Amino acid sequence: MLFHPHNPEHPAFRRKVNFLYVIFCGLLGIILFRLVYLQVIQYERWWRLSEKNRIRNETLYPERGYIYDRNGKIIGDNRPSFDLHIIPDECKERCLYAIQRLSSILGIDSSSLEVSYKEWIKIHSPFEPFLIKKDLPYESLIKVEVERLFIPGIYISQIPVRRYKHDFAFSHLLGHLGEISETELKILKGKYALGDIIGKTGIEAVAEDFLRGEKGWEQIEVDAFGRKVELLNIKRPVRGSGVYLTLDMELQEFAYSLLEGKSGVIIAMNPKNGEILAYAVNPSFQASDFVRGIEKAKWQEYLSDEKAPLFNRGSYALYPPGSTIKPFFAIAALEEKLINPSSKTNCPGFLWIGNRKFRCWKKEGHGRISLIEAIAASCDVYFYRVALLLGKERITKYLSLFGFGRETGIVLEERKGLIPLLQNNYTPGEIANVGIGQGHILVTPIQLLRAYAAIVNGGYLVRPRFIMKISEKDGAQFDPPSIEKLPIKESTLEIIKKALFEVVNGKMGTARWLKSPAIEMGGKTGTAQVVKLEKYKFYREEDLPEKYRDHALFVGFSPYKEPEIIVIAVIEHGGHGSTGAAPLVKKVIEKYYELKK
Amino acid sequence: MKREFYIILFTAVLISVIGIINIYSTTHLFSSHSLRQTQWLLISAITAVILFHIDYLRVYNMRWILYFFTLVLLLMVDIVGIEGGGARRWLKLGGWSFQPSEFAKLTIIIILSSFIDQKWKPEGWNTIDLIKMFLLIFLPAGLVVLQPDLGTAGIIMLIGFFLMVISGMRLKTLFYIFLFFLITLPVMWRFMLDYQKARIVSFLNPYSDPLGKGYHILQSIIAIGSGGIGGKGFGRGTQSVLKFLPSRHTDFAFSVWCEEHGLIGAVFLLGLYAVLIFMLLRISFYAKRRFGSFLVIGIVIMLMVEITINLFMVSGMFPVVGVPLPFFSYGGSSLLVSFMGIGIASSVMWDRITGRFV
Repeated sequence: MLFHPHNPEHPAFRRKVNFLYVIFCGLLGIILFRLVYLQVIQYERWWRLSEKNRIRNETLYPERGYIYDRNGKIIGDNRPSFDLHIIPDECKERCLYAIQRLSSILGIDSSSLEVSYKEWIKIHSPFEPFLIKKDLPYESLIKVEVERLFIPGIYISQIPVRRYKHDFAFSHLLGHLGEISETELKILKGKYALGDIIGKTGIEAVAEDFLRGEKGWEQIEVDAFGRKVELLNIKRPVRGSGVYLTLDMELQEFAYSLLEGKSGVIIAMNPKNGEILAYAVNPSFQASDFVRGIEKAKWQEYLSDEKAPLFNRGSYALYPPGSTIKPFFAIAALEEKLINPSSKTNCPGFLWIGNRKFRCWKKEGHGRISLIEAIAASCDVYFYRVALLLGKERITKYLSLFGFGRETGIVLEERKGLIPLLQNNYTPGEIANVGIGQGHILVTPIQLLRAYAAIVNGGYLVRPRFIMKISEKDGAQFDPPSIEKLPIKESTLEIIKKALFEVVNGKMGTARWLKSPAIEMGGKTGTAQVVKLEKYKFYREEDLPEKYRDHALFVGFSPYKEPEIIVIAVIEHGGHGSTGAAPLVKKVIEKYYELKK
Repeated sequence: MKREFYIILFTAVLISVIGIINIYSTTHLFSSHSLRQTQWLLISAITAVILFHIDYLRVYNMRWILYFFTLVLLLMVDIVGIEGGGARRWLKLGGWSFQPSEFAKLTIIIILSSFIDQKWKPEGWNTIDLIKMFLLIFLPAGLVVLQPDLGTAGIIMLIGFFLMVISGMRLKTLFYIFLFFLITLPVMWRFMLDYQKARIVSFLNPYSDPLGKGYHILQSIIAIGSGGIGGKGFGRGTQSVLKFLPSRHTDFAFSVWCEEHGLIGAVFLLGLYAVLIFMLLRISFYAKRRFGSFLVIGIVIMLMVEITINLFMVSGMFPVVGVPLPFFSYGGSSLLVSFMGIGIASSVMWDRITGRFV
């Protein structure tokens, strides 16, 4: 029964077993040394930490990534923000006194704070800081620092918060921040904690993952007055990646300044690749109101404001396009060979459709005009006829081809708009009305801009883009350029482009007074009718109360050959396109050339 | 030799009683903890006595039944187990819940000891035997990983590995195994999923989780260090009373003991463990079969690994992996398995031919 050499009596086996025991005793010895080190040599330090002082665990919040314009100028960076708290375990029975004293220094109501404190302490641990005031101004901060000597348990936390170069001009594009909601917290499980600030709309939301950064933390030893004694451990936070926009900051600020006192939109884009150069929307909101999460009262104020400052008019507002839709009807008719560009049609100032008289905007009529003249002069009668010739199916086909009635794919929240639907039946009158951009057609400014870009860039439908690069990575992977070639003959587009040039430069052009030798510009005016009350029917436009005036639209591009900028202006209740919107577009284009130098 | 068994049993019961007193000190408000642990101790001690009186060769004959039964239990945990702390670890039977992964440790020791008993070669293990042993270990360990309970799975692997080494691993093989790990580690890393990587990162660097494990370690060190030489006295540990210290009755029970009873208390406890392990190891000399020797050694290795990892962990020299201190920490399954271990190990002293204790 013996198992040589693994007979338990065998010395080699005994040696192994003894060796195992020696190892174990050695390990116990290491632990003993460690215990002596901690309990005898470092005793003072740990005793102090356990008895007198406290360890604070603090989350170190990262800076949000900066936002830059196309030239690397900073649009959004960060500033420090200080919050005042007290820690109940440290101020003990003097907490209520501390609240009273601090609120008198800060000039805030102490009684409501005391009430909420009494409720709060019931459900929270005494080691958790109780918030007294968010975002202390600098002067208060100094006063509170002095108070620390008299009141124990004061705790001031510092976090970086977003600061914008311009509080209003960029708001609709950048979007707003806000405290994370419970549903967002559930969806983004693990990445965020309660109370974190997160991008809610616009670029701040789209690039949230890059802008967010990485949280850090520190463990510090503090004395009974909350003063730092020793830093025990730290992991530094990491700032989020920088996001470079396609925007030109100065052009944007200029465009926004043009909108002062008006409701409307100015968007400038590079027609070749869809890069947005300016995206100004007014009325706008104050972005700094949102950086630490908006207060309820302020939010309500924004929501109840009649001017709808939170409403992103660039991609979410629907307008009747008015005459700006006419070139697309012309394209459709040319492609379908329904009209001949050189043949002329008579405009007597009206057209009978059924038993209703459809008027041209020019009461006396345009007389005999060609297609180019009809676009330049924006003749309504001509386009009633074109619309009737085309019919519902072809209208829908071509409008949809140019991106109307569908999303542009912009990163902001947008609406599809409305074009005549195939399944619906329309009277000839309704169809004719669509030909001049009224009735069953609604577009967003960004849609209209993109459709025009397709005319002037030789038939390419581009996706409007905002993000040029993130950190050093090319933004194409986040906001990819997408270009669709439209099945439209180049000769057709050439004719229309010529007509758009005539709008500004021709004898009959609706915007001919903008013609200047310095800037070569083409474009199209539009005036979108707003439903008026009966009693205002015979008023002249300028005598109408503002909210009943028509919307003014203009899309302009420059230069004629190889356009490098295309701009849309939509001014609500701005009156005529040629006077309400076209001058703004021209100024933006002038500014563009000035900045280019 | 009955005397030796009772010394072992007495030492283990003494550590457990101290453990219960310690649990009582940390959880006055929830004294049901110490009561429950007392019940577990009674059951465990009786089990140890019964196992001591059973011929250990019966265990040998039942090894495959035990092995497959363990695999089934582990599979059941993965399917119908109770969740806690993001993992399924417990099975519920009536009012008692237990962790099959704890019992898997004993099963591994039994199956490997019998394998060693049959296949042992004087020149050391060849590759085929090593692969067979590896598969025997890997099946249950893999199921435990799935729960996921990396701590226990790691201990199962360590027990298996040490048994393989002690029973006669060639130096060359040892070198190759080391080389193999060095090469495959980066490859495995590439194929791992993100959450698995994250788990391993926080295993290697607990400070990456600030308010979690890094916090535990610092609080544990404060508790130990502030105890000084004589300790703060029973029930006076500020760290533990103020609830700074997490898991203070389970994994970090030793820190509480050190805070309240100082270096003197700690040395006393370490001494008890040294005695226990010494007495257990001696049994391996009495065994009449190779199976018995390795059964004892396996059980001793299990206790040694757990004691060492836990003590290194609470004193801040090893990452927080959630290994309890045998006999001392709160936890029924762990206590029962530890006592079963000493019961089975002691039964090796029984001589089946003479019907007497050696």
